[in-house]
Amino acid sequence: MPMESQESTGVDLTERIEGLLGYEVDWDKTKAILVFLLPGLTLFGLFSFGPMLYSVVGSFFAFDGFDVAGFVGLQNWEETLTDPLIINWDNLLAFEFPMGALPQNILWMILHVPASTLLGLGLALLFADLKGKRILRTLVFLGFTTPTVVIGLVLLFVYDPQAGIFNGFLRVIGMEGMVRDWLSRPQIAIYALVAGGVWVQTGFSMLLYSSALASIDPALLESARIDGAGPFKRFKDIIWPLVKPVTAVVVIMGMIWVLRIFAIVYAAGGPSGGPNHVYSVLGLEVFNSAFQVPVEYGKAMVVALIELIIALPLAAYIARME
Amino acid sequence: MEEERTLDAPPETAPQTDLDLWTKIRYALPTLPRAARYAIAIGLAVLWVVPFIGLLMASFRPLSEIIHGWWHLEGMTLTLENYWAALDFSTAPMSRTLINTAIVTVPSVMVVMLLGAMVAYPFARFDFPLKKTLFFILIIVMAAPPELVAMGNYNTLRETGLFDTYLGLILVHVGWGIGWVVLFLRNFLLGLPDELEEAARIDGASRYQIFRTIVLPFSAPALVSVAVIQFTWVWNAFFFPMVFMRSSELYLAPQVLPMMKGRLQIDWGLVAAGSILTMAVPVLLFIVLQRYYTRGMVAAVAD
Repeated sequence: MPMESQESTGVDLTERIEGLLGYEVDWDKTKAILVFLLPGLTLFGLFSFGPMLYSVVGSFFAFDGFDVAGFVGLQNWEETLTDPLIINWDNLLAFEFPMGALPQNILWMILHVPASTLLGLGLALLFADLKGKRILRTLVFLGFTTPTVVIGLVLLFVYDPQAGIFNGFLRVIGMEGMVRDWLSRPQIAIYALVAGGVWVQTGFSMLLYSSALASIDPALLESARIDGAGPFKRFKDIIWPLVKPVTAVVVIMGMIWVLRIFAIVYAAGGPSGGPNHVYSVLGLEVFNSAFQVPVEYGKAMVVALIELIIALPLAAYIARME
Repeated sequence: MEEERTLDAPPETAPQTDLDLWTKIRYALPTLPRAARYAIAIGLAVLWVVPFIGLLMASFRPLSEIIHGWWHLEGMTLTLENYWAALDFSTAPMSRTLINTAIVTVPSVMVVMLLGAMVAYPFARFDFPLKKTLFFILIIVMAAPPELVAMGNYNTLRETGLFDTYLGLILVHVGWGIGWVVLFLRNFLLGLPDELEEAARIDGASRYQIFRTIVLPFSAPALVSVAVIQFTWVWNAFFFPMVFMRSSELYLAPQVLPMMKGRLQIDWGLVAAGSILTMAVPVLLFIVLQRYYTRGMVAAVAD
């Protein structure tokens, strides 16, 4: 606190501020709050919020390599939204891959989120009152603690034409004709990957649902059963009202997870996201634009902002829950 | 109230009958539908880990055996060759990359815990200007994808000479992680009664003393949750190392795994051994501290 300068001018700075604000300030408390907040918020500002604003502003500028070169208005946005790597309108209308990273990312979300949510709920209900449910849950949740890059490599291994167990399984059940390299077939590869994503995320939704189910009083279910309520009615009247709020969380976290997908796709299909970008996602295109030659910083920022625009309603929902 | 019951009221418990041994056993065993549920549950749980069993098998067997399916068990040879090859991988040996990963992860976790708790404390206990706005910004960053901050951080680290250094990556991880840690710890502190803090305040303790001697110790369970989840997140991170670590001697373990694929035939044994080495740390941590991990995951998103 600049005590000397206050005395030299003869005016008490703190009193002046209090005069301006119109109320007395607890200076001890203010100082304490600043001491607690500043170190953390400085790093947050420098390495999270600042870079975020930089992307927002930078998306309206031309770049010379990594440096701002001049204001170009919406040019980056126009170029990006007409870039076939982001949206390939012709293929999108024909529903043929590659459709571009944005539609592919959204398709992934549409398939992945309901599947992993329902499977998670199903497994949580299945495991709920079994002995050894902790071990069962651990097995299902294992994939969620594994690095996503390993998940991508595991999927590559599972779908391998010779060494992969998925094709091995098809051979065993006599579907020899279906055996193929699932991740290099343009029109089906993304579905194979989505299935892998669901495999991982189901563990997460199962975990959240399990903890919600644990708060249900078993006596309530038992008395409903004695009163003649069938399994469906018991689910609808007792279980569902309690797990409904969790569903909102599971869905939002699932959407954020899909929006952030990067390593799985990179590990399975390299920086291009499969042959000819057939299962590329937004995150991958940010990486390609910003950090692969030719460097297109403005485009990278626009793509990242498209991700943010999708994420904002989710953030608003989380904020409303608080 | 048991004593107040009149004689003609119905008894609380059904009369006990003596059961013969066979009936007792039958009651102790699960009923048929229940047994079927056990079978389905175990079957599904095992199905869920089959890909990891495959990974483990591939890491311990020579490529010639894996190539036609790791599930063929006849004539199985177990070898550590793949692990030695991974630890000695020419581009970036795992023996080095695992240490690099630890060098980045441990400080990233410790710093984020301390600074996160410090920021969360005023958020939970005091009112200050811009609190609502700051809070919403934290939530936005929690929902935003990491790619959004990559370009700005790339330039910042280049200009400060921190690009391609441990410190640079640690700072990026701390700045990125602090958002969710603050939200999580704030929620925890809001659920903690503040009578003890009030009492200490009346006794003349400063806010810093209260933070150190009351808030931090009472937050221990939440801090462990933060540590486990943040550790897993930083250790497993792939995108940030890819962007900010460019010298092969600074590569982190997850970053190197796709390079192990090679050009033509994928050396599954090498990839599998490298994957197992990389995932072993977070998976073991999860198994040991499962309680905290689970509680944290649920609280972080469900509160």
